[in-house]
Amino acid sequence: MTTTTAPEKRAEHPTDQPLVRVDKLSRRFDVSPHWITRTLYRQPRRIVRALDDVSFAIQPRRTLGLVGESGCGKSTLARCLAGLMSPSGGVMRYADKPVDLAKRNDPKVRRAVQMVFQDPYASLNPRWSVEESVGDPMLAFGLAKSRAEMREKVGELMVEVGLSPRDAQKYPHQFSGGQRQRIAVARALASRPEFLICDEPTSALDVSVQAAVLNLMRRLQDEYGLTYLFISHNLTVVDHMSDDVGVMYLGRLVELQPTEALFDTPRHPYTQLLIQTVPSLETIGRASAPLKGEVPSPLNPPSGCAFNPRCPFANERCRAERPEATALPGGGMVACHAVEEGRI
Amino acid sequence: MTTPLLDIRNLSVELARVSPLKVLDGINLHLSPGEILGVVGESGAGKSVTGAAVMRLMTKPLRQSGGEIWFDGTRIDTLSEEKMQRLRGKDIAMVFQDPLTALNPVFTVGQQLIQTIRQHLPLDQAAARARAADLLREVGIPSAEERLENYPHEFSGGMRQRVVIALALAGEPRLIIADEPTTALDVSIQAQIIALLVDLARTRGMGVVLITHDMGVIAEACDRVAVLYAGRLAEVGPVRDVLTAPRHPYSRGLIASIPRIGARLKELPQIPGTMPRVDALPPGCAFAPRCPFVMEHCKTHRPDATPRAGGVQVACWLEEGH
Repeated sequence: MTTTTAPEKRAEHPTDQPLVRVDKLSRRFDVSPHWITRTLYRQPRRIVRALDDVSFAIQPRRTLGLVGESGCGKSTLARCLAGLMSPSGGVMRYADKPVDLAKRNDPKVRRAVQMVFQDPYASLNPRWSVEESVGDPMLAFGLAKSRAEMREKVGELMVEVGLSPRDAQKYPHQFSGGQRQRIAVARALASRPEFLICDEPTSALDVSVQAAVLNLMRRLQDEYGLTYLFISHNLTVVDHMSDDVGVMYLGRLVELQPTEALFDTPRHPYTQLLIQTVPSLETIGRASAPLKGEVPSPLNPPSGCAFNPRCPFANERCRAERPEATALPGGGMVACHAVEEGRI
Repeated sequence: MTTPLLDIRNLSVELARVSPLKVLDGINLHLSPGEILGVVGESGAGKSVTGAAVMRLMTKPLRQSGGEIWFDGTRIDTLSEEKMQRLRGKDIAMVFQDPLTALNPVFTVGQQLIQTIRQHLPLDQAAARARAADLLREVGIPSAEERLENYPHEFSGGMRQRVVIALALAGEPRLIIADEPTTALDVSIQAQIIALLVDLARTRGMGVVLITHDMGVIAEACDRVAVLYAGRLAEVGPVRDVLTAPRHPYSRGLIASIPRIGARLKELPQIPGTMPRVDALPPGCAFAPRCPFVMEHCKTHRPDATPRAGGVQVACWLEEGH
């Protein structure tokens, strides 16, 4: 927008090395019954591996899209990275420095990493005016010295996200879903972040509103030099927004490729089936061949490759041995025995 | 022409206040047996109210203020509540968006199915039970007999929605109104549910009104589609015509704003502004303030849905030479 303020807004990081690097990140949840129940009924401990050895890197000012069905660990990943929970294993490196934001020991990175949530009705405090919600991070991180300065900056941000400065005095219930999501974006931008984690930011919105919010997020990325982790179950939205796309299945990353390569030549059978089932305007009158079965329970994952019960290419090895990530020639990775062996 | 299964004539619904607000205004829709009619529009456009009006499930202060609803040659909006209750769930069934709230959590799926079946069909407990298992099998639930003993929370989201569909099928309905049946589900499960609905419509000759905001779902499942805007019909016609060559500027904008795989646009086309609230509708065409082709005539005169070539009806002054 205003060219005078642009240099100040921009985050300076060397573009040749990743801003965010995630190494073998895991998160387990203990969902065992109470120990008395366990001893009385001889029940075993039950551990859900919500996130299992996930590794990827995001270059500055790029967008990594993540797709997958419910329960595949997308949101757990977002929460671990945003510091809303600690990972059980693995590290996140921010600008080449290992961080765990949930430990609250790194205020600089905490400021630089922000999150936009799915439900704009639940992510804003209904009793706080927009100014309080958006201005709070500014005061908390000392980005505004006084209330007057905060008020002014909130007004600027409101204009930036396409609302009016006067709207800052209103409360969340006075806005539509799309406007609320703009406020949520403004709130995330208030601490002048560099890395924005967007967990399903448009899935609660109508398509026409979705287009406006996606355009806004793209413009802000250019303007502020933001890096995005863009999580969605909607493949068309991820295709539109991302430079690279990762596909998750039952807590693991099964494929990661540059966006065009992933949609043009998907390698993992799950990715292939997922792309086929996307309802699109081009498939008029032809209900796509539905993908059989469902995502298995993470409590009781299949042995070997987690996708093997639904996979048309599964063989003995797939049922016994878990596939590891193999690098692809064009950059990216895929974790599939069939691809590795050249069967597909 | 044969009698349509469902015929909505000039339906209006208002929010009863001191000055009543029109939530639905002059909607005309019809549906033949075995046909799937999609109803799309933004939140607040009147999609769900249309479904609720047909089922007469509207609660105060909403009420039908005009028009007629005909089901298989009988006018149903004037039926007594008692007769309507016999029709509802029997001949006309409904599938809701959230399968967890549509099912009673304290009864097993079998109990709920058997109760619904016996409500509508003269069967004894054992026969109703066999029928319940048949229904679960028909909607693609494996080991149906055992699953009858399960509670709703023991099913996954997709399976739960199948149970809701089985429940809707219990009275052997001729018309199903599905209000956002796949919105709460994952893409791969969504495809399964859509395939199931299409299959049921084709094999049973059942009419389906599919209310959704997802144009992709409309493209895959529906024969015809109606686009609603601010409680009015903007465009209705065969899916292929409406999706590939939309005539109404709103449908054009709506379809253009959907991201497509491989399109890689720098920016998505977006419709400026937002849909007007029902208490602030402009005097002429409701879309006029946002329309890129707006003319003086549009601001003062309200267009009605008029037939165009190819069985499409469009409510727009553009092609009418004003």
